[in-house]
Amino acid sequence: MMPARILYVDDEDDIREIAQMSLELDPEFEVRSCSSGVAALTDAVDWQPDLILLDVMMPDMDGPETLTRLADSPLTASIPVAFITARTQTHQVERYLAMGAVGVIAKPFDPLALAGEVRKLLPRRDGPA
Amino acid sequence: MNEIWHSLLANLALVSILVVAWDLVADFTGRLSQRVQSLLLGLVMCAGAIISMATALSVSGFVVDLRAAFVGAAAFFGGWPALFIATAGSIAYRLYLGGQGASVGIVSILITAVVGLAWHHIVAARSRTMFDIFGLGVSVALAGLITLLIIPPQVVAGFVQQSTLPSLVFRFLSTFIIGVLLDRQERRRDLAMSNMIYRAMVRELPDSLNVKDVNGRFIAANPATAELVRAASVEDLIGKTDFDFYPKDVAERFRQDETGALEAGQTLRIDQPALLPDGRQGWLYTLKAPFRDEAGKIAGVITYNRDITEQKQNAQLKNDFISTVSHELRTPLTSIRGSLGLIAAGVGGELSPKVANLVNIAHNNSERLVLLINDILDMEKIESGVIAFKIRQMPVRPVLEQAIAASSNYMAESRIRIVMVDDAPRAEANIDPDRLHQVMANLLSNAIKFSDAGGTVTVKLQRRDRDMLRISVIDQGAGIPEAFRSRIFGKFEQADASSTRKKGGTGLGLSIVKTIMEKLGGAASYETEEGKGTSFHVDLAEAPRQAEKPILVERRERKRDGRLRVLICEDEPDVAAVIAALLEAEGFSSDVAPDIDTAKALLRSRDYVALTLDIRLAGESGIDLFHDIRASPVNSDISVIVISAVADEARRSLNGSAVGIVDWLEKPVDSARLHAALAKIVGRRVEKAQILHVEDDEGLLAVMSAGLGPGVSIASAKTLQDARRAVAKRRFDLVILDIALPDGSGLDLLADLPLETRVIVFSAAEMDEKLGDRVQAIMTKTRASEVDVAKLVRSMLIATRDGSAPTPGKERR
Repeated sequence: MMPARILYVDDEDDIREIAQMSLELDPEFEVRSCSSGVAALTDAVDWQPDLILLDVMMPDMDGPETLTRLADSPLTASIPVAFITARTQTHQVERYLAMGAVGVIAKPFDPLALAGEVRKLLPRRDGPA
Repeated sequence: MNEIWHSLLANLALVSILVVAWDLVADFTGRLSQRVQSLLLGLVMCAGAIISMATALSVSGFVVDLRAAFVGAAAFFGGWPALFIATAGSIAYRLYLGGQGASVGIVSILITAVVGLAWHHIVAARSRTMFDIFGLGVSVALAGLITLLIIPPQVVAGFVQQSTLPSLVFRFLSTFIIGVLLDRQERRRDLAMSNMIYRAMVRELPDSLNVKDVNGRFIAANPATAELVRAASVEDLIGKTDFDFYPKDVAERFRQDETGALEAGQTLRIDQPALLPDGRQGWLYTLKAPFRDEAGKIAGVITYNRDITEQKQNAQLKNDFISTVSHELRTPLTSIRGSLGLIAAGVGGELSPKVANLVNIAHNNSERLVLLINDILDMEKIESGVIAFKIRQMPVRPVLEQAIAASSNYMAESRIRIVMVDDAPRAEANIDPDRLHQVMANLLSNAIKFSDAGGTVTVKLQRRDRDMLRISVIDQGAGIPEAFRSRIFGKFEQADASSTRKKGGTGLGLSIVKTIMEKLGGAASYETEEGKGTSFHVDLAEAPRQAEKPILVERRERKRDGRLRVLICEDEPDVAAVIAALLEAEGFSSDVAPDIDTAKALLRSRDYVALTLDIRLAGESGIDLFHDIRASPVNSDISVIVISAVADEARRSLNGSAVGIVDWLEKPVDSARLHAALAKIVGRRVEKAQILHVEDDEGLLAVMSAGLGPGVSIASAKTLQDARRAVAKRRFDLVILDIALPDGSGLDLLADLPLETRVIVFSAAEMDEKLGDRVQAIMTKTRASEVDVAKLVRSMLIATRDGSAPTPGKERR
């Protein structure tokens, strides 16, 4: 089976590092991370990940805006995007999902459970090849 | 004899004239103090008594008159001051008249005064009735008889005997008449006073208050209303309607609310955005209550508007604050918890036992901090009402079972067994399942925490008294120490400070339980015995179980006339009813699903043209339903109209590009917007586009069919002959045509096709443009994928539906 490519986007260096390590606990994940929405847009086009994990609160281009841009571009529109955020009030989660996010993961995340949560969000890959 | 009757009758006329005169004067004395009014009353009554004596029949020194009525009434209505003046004046005049009966006359005056005063005190504590006045009349009349005792017998035998009966009758009559007139006068004055008070209240009220008739015309309003609607004055408002002051759409919305309240005969309460008098955009709390006339018929509607902009802003500020704090605290915590978790798990390599121990301590405490922040935020959100309770009637047991299941991890770790005892099977209550789950999770973790390893925790559901359910979580732990019991539901309380470290937990759990139970209209309590264990109880009112299939409200069967059916996913029955009525008016039939499960069940069993979706349906899963629908092959083409209190917010963030969502409507639902959305849907779905796919490769047929989705109806033909048969039988909107068929060239089919049928040639052969105008597009297998074809098909269908001209030229890939 091909490894699943996960792109992790967060402006906090520490969290990015930890998230990457946590995700790499799953041997079938290939993880890359970047620190801004703008970087995410180019990485998404170049690398074509299977899932993008977006922090919501980022300077310049925040998570929701990044998602909108990703959805607007035909090159990235089909990549599923999930948010990872400390803002998980009900109405906020509703808003994220309404934007088309496939899921919302709460911060602080459990480093040992993160990969499992992300796996659940990956599209099933049993369609016609 | 006759003389006495005549005289008294004349006296009675005098009484009436005097009282009416007083009535006129009294209109001008209303502003005087009560004492002065009483003195004035005494003076007038005194004058009445004197005139009565002066004009009465006098026989051998005895005067037969109606002074008693004046004195009695003065005491009764005026109290001491009036009594004093009336009595003193009457006695003085009687003395002046002199004669044999003077002493008897004075005694009679005094007795009457006492009787009047007695009645005055009897009714002082309550409001006067006609019976009191009647009683006063009777007792004043009878009191006159007492004087008979002190009149010398020879007089009694003569004149007095003759005068007793008429005197009795006229004393009563005159007292009663004076009483009734004075009473009415006082009532009138009270009414005027209370009118004045109400007017002042309404006038000074900073909130808008107004009354409209059934046609929406203002009948009465206070200055705040005039200010709100920007009318020049209250007078300017009367007789006009909202349409004279607001733009048509706004006035229509108001009118709709009013007719809603009028038709339902019920009070309507809404928070609505509005333009405030100072020109700011703000929020109003509006109450519309129908009022009825004396016959009980609804005569109009009373509207009350209060500016709640500040409350709304404060709530928003608080919400933002919670959100910010939670984010600011959680961000560094994410790094700490993450690092420690990874180190503790050995990701960074093997740790020495000493270091492992230290890391574990740090890791456990970071976990505790996470829980603590979550608990504090929960508590805050519940108390401040940020968390809206979604209360609905449902069975209790499944919630308990879910909570037990959710605790199972923790349970296994501590080797504790949880037993469920259900003594009230199928009991239902009005609950918010998420919040009850939270209550149970807290109680269970508490019980497990304070149980010894290998112990049992019992969850028991039972009926307690009539209509009351009790859920108990029973442990066999150490029990709660006496000294701690009073503080058990307090915040940050744990029995033993050291137990926090030992047992974990934040000390907020039970406090959250109590707060939630209060909001659910229930109660939390406990029983404990040191050394034996503790039982925590939560009590809830049981709701009578509804008939089978309670949650599915079948609105109507699909009519024979084939009306299109819409599914309303909405958990508020009132809103659902409004949407259903709007749909009905638009010629649709509808079903209502109050929760996700019902919605899914209905979607499986019936064909719907559209779905109205409340994003907050039954908790937070409205969006889940949306994703489910999109993912499911059965009804992924259904049109969705989102109707929600947060629709606008959600839409803005989407830039209107959410796939498959026809429109986003704010609550309250605007009928014009709904109409437009439905029109779009009908345009899209009146009938499915008919497509014929001519292709001998079975795999490709299947892929194409899947690619086009259920929004179209696809027929397939593997041979030219099959294709000809299909084309002869019915009309197709579009044909996807392979050229190389087992029994000939697909191009031969072109002649059989009606002109309006569009054709896409999808073939392995490289084609040139010799095909003529009959083919709209040519696609070559291997160059273009099935997905490209599907896309092209969709765009061609949309172009056809929108009535745009046929695609000029040919598309070629």
